[in-house]
Amino acid sequence: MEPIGLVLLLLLLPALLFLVFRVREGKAGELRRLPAMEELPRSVGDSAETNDPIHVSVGVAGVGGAATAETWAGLALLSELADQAAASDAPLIVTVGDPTVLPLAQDILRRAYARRGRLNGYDSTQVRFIAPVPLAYAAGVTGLLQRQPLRGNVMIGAFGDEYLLMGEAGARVGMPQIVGAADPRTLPFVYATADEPLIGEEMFALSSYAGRKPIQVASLLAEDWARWAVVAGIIVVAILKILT
Amino acid sequence: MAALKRIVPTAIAIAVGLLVLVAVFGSIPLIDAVGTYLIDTAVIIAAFAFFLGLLNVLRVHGRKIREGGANRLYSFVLLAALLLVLALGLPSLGDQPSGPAQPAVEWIFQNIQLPVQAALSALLVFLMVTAGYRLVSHRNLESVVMLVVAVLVLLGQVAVGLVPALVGVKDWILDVPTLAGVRGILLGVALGAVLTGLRLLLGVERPYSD
Repeated sequence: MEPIGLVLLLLLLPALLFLVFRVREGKAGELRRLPAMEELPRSVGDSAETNDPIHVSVGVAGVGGAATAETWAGLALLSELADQAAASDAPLIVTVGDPTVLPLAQDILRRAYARRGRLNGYDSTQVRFIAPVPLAYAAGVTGLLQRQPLRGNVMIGAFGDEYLLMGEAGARVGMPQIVGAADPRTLPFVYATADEPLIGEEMFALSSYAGRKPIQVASLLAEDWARWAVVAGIIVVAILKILT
Repeated sequence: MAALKRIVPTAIAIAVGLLVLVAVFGSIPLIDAVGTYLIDTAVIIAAFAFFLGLLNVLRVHGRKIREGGANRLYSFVLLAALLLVLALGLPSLGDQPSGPAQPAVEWIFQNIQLPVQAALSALLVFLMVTAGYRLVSHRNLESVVMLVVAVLVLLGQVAVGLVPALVGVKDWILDVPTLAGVRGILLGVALGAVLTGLRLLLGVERPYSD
């Protein structure tokens, strides 16, 4: 395997540790506003008041494949949402498109209710395995969005073209939609249908925005540093190419 | 006890993550073997997860049928189809193979599932038009840019011979700003994924324990 990933990891680790100290000293500045994170508590509040659930999707991929990081991003947000939902008695419906995510999502939900001392409020069928084929999953979720009265639709994870079936169904019903995807072919559909689109890397930042631990904030800063390094590298290589 | 319940899963997750990472990038035979064993174990667990998925579908839709309501017919059809395919695919009849290669299951796949999936894919064309219309109705700068670019690219695709300059404009739009944007997004996603992995490896984020 190409060692570039390991090199990147080894370069980012010391930068991350250095930035943790900067954050702890209060020298790191503020995180920029992410409207999706402000919309989430509103949807949970509406859901608690009306008792209509919020639909959460963590994508069509599972854990262990190429899109594992995107699925983890969805699960991390689910963890945050489950905490808020358990605290305010707002119902959630979680759909998964890969069976490896099913026990993880159920466990996240169960622990959120247990932390609030309300384990009797947890129901394992709140997490539903729809289908392992992306189009079949999209068809199942589209039916759910059209038939079930919902207060919001949160979709963070790996999605392909089939997202448009679900995104359009949600937009037609008129419910608030928070959607994050990483595939550039899906992003135009996300932008056209979601109220709060999360483009590419923004979806990986959600858990850090929710947790705000120094190391989480430092990881976002390290990502910014790495981005500047890549930009500088591209400019230097372009100039060298022109000169030679 | 509560601390132990938090520390043990985190320690196992970090150790397994580091071992697999070293096995993927390194070349130490012992660690390679351990890494391969761990990945094989994950594959077996993933296969078992399909069984959990089946139970979940049975529970969710069984409950919907029991509770009644206008939509219970859909749940009934789903469970009937699931059980029918299982009944056809599980036993090995005579010299016919079992599983997905069983002729009846293959017939269902070719003549029901594939056409339905193709029909759903075809729907995407119309949904793209409605999504585009919705975006234009926002009446902001981004929607205007999208509309202008979409019209230029569409004309560039179809107007060969009528407005030759548009073919060049279309190629430039796809090869320069679009490709640059896509690469920028992919670089950001790669960095975000690496940092997510790092947070998991350091045990900062633990979706598997409190």
